[in-house]
Amino acid sequence: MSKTITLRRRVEAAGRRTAEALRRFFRRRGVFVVNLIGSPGSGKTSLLEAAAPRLRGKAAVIQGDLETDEDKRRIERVGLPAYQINTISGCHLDVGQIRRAVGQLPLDNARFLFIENVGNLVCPASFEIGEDIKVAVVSVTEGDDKPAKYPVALRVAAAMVLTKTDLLPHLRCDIERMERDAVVANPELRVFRCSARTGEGVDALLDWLEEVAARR
Amino acid sequence: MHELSFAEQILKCVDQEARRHCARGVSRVRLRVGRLSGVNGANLAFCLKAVAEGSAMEGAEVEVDEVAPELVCSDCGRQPVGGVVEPVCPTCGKEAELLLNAEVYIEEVELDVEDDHAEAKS
Repeated sequence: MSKTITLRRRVEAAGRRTAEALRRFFRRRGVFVVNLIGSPGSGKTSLLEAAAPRLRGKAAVIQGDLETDEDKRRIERVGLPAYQINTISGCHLDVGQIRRAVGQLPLDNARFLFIENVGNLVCPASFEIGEDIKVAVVSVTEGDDKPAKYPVALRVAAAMVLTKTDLLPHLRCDIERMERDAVVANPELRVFRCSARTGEGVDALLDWLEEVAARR
Repeated sequence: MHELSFAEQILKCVDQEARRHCARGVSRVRLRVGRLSGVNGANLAFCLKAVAEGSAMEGAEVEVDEVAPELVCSDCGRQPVGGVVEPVCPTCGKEAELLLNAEVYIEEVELDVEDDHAEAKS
């Protein structure tokens, strides 16, 4: 015979508990963890490169890509310790990968750990990997309709960084529309305009990160 | 394909439930998937059937109710909406609460049990 059982049990993606444990681990060490999410080519690595002079000596970086260690080498060239994860075909980083990476990184003096997720504005939004906050990186060259079309990442993010703003004079991009649509998706979202090329907005972003990390 | 991670969790949960009730098998699983959860219902059902092979859940029917976000108005009740909208009731214009419903739930499982166990430990 059959028996129907009402469960009404919430399901989380595998790894939520490990993410909690990892978050406690980072917290005990005073490391504030930022999970950077954005499309391939949105400028996540360039943003970190631009921020590196202020982060030297107090930050480490984990890089996620399908292939190559190019990003790790770029980050090391600007003076930050970096660890590269290659997911081969995986569309996002998972918490197990972060846990294994953590042992390979010098975190003793780190105030910040930046995890640059696999370039993808969709899947990484669904996974907790031990971070304190997610920051969405969206470039103005992607098209000003992207915050409206891809709101999932913005909804789980604490901030959105609009990158490559130095290119605005050459583009048909309504940056105000990007900001408006993003705030509709998430009214709490902080928005920054940055250019890794000119350095515009990078200090404001870092000031805010320091503030949020201190408040935690 | 991150639906696979959800499917693995669901299987673990259903398997546990089947064992708790000494079930011979699982005939049906009903899920509730928020449209804003980032999980695609059809993909999730597919993944679940794939990971269920060789388990108590093998061959079970998988039903997925997809749920839209809702506006809750104290006068007009609950109304589904297309996405993230201003928290204002579309009927009376009063301030309303927006429920994202962005979660995944196992609503119900139907187990195939021996008569002796049907009443036990429910």
